[in-house]
Amino acid sequence: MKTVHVKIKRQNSPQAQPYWEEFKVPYKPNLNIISLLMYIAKKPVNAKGEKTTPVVYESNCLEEVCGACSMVINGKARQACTALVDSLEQPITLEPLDKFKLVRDLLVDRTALFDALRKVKAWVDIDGTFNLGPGPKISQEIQEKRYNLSRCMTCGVCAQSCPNYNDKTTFIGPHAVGQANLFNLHPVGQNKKEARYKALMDKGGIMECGNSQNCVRSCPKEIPLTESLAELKGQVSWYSIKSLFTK
Amino acid sequence: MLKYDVVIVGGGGAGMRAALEASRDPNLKVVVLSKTFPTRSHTGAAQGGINAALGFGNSNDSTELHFRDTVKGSDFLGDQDAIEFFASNAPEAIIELDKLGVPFSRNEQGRIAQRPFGGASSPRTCYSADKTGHVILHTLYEQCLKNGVDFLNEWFLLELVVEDNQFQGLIAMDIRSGEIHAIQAKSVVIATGGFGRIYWNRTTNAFNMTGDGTACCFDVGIPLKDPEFVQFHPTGLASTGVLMSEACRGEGGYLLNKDGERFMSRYAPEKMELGPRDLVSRSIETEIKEGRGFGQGINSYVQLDLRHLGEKKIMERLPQIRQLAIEFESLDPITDPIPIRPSCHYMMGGVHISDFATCSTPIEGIHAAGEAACVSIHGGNRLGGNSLADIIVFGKFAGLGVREKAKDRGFGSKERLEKAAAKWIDKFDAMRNKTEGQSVIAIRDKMAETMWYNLGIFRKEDEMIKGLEMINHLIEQYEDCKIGDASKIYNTAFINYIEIGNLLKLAKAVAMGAIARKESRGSHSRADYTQRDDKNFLKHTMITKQDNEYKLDYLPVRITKYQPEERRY
Repeated sequence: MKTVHVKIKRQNSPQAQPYWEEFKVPYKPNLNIISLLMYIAKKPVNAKGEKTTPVVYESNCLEEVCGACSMVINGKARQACTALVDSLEQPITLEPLDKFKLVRDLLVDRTALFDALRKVKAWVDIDGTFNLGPGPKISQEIQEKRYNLSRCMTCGVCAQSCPNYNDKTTFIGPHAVGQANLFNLHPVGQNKKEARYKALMDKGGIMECGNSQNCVRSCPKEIPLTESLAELKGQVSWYSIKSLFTK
Repeated sequence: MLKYDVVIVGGGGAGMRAALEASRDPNLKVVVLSKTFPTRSHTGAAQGGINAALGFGNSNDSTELHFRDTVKGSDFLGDQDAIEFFASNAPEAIIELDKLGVPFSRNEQGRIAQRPFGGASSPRTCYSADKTGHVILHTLYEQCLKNGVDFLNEWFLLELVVEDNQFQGLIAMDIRSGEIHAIQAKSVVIATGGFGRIYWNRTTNAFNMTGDGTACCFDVGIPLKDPEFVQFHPTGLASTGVLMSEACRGEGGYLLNKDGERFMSRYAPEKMELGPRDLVSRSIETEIKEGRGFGQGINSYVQLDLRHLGEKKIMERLPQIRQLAIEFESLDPITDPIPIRPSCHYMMGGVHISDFATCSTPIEGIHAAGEAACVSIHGGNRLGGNSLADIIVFGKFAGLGVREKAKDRGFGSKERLEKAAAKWIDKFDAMRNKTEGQSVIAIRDKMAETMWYNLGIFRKEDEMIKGLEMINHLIEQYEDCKIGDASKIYNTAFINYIEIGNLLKLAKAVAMGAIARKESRGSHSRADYTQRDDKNFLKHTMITKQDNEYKLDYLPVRITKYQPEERRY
């Protein structure tokens, strides 16, 4: 029987030692990494024929829109649902994202990504208790630019690939810069533009970006993150010069 | 003991919209409890759009027409007062989202663009290309952050605690630590989504769509309304069930059989591909049954052809669809037709709502919204674009309802909650240590197979009775399961075990409702009773569970304006 050879880096708890476990899963056409992990959950037996526990991982939508199933597959951070076995070299290696706190096996704690959104105030600051009218007019060009940025699924792949996103820096991550831009481009959202600039000027802000361009290359949604980074670097510099003179 | 004024269970669109509304009272402590991180919720997978009669697509559109279309779409099983309320409140709800920053696609005048959708008499569906749900979900999450809503992420609802018809609080597990907590609360919104996973892999639903909140409501005696109405989406990818949005048909896609014929001309000569979902799904299955599909048996399919739309339109309007076809089916819709087959998509039925303006249930303090609930506005069949509108409109009113309710009610019994939590702690320990027993996954697969073959798109008495017997048998087997993981930390095997238990209860209710409903209406299509029977069945199915007894009853449909007529498209 044709099988797929998978090596998974496992760890029982944040304090435990990591170890590798290998599996042989029967081959079928169109298998993806999630279907491999589901097979292992159904028959939790490793390549040595020993009984083991199901592998813990996160996954939900299966159509690359929820951002849950990020992991490192054959050395590259990406979504597991769109990683087709037929296009991967074997043995396939699966590892957790290592820029985040490990919880168990392939599952990590990505709360930091959302804390970053809070820092850049990635929202429109209104409370909805007013007369609404027909809503703001927005040009198709601006809408398209915003749509592109809004495809971000906070999956963490850009942060995982970024050399400047690590324990030693406090960089908020490329995704958060994209989201700051998304709300700066909204007719009501731009009222908070300056607060976002201030957040981006702070420690861990946009100046931590070393321009490696890894984020834009790794983003599963091909969001033009470096464009937002460049635009906001420019705007933030201008804002800081301007604020020197208006103090 | 944890203590909140308002608990929202479920971090999808309905839950977060409710949280947003409830948190507008700064004196209330509001928390969202969600088993997945909120932005990973299934709302994010909604592609095509959200309906509201804004009149930007066609200035003659009106909330009255939205009301009428929805009544007709429901095959007259929707409650008309609730539908009218829904259609009238939808426009404001959309404008609100626009102001909150949802990047709705625009027309040339800079207004929100609206496109045609199945079953709608006017272009009424607002969208953000084909990521409408995703952008709404993220916007709502960020608004909740802004409002300081608390989140208990990766927490799993185990039980709603009720005494004398009064909500006391709930029991939930922090999945990361494996700790089980009792939470005291004054009111709760159940917004845990549908339970399409009763068909396991024959569904477009995400893995987490296991109806946990619906099952917990069912367990405390709240009726499950109209569970037999299951929507099969006509266009799931043939091999994986991944959804190809209704926008494909809305933008002008063709459905072709193996003779290259646009077969919808036989079933809906006027609307063609834009007929409602139940009709299109049955048409596809009929083509396959009569030998005009491609492939064989379970692998049969028909084609969705977008090629004539041209590269520009596909890239602009349906980029996500194109990407999915490339990634999951290895073909490009610009040059190739897409193999598709109907998949379970949506549950019209759910937790019985007794007052739609507050989304309350018969139990004081428990409210529900979204796919988990049955208001009922969708009746026998939901129209495309009405589910996002449902969660936004009724999420908001559930939030208002629960906010007012929290002001009138006190906190529940601590003792009663502690007792319930202790029972769950024992159960978790016992399951972690159990080494022998039935495999949960084998039971799940058998359930899915039974539901697909015996309670799928076409239904017949004898097959359904066999299906119900099998589900009963699986419920017995489930009593003796093992989970195969002794860990306390992130024990997904235990969570799956509880989820499958929830699905089994709901599957049984689907079977009971379907067997008793001897007619064909909306998505419920019977080979042995092919006509709608208003004389006997213009009424809601109500199934209640008391311990292990399931009882079936009916409730009249509220008709205010539109008398039932034949549904023709």
